[in-house]
Amino acid sequence: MIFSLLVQESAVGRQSSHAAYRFACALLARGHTLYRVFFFADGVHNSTALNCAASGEADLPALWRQLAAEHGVDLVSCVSSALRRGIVDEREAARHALGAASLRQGFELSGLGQLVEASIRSDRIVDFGG
Amino acid sequence: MSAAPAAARRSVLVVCRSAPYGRSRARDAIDVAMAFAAFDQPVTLLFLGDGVLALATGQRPAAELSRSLEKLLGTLADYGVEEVHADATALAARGLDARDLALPVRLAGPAELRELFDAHDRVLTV
Amino acid sequence: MIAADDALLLSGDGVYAALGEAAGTLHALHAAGVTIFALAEDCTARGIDTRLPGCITTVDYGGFVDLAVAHPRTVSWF
Repeated sequence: MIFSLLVQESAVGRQSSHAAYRFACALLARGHTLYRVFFFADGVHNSTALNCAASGEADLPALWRQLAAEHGVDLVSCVSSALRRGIVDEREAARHALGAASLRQGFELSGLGQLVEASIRSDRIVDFGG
Repeated sequence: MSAAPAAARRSVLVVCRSAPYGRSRARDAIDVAMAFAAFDQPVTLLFLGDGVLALATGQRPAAELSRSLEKLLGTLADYGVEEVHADATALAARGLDARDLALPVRLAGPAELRELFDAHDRVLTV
Repeated sequence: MIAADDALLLSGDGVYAALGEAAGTLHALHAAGVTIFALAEDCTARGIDTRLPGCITTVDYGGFVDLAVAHPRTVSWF
């Protein structure tokens, strides 16, 4: 089956995006396809390049990046959620004269249309955190 | 990435369980519903639990806090979100009835709520 | 809203519904034909894995995936 995931909470201070990651790993191990992970609302914090994970704690932004690189998963952060929260790519940083980009390599910013498309293309869409 | 096939439609039930303003979740749910409608996907917006409080009329948020959710609700039909339902039990438990609501919604009892879940391909709780 | 032939998966802090008075609701659902699962590692993390009522089956994330495959609709309740 083809899965997509909706992640709505930050990786820090809440468990649900960790659960999403574990679910993602499990479905891939079961031989299913993970088409897209769409990060929305506070979930966009999973796509930061500027976190420093504490020793002994999972570095979820790095783990998502690694998962995507190994399995060809599309990682998309909702652009309007991201801009509000200071998660910006080079283009948005330049456009808004912000001085620095913060989006981790391997993620892209896009609109809710990508969530809609994932819903159309996937057999299952599972949402984490809300 | 390539566009989805034009004829592909999967109905989605967008569920809001959060009251407005304390968190942005109610606003987020409306944005998600509008996005599905914009891409011509059949969408129903359902307010459950504290989410029904987002429907209360008379909202006057300070400009710095947030845009008015009530005004946004008034534009739902313009953006193609025509099916808006609310948990009747949750409204009654919070002392609200249809006259207190910012827009006409379909009130759903327990059986009707179940039918709503069964009638959609996807359920997203925002 | 939950009905017979549905599966209920307790995860995260949701596993606490297996304890005490809240468990009564789970027993009633089970009697009505709902299969009830709990994510094993969330129960273990919280020290309640030895306190689960008999109507609950623990699963790992693989089991969670299998449930999502078996049921066309996943309704998340956070």
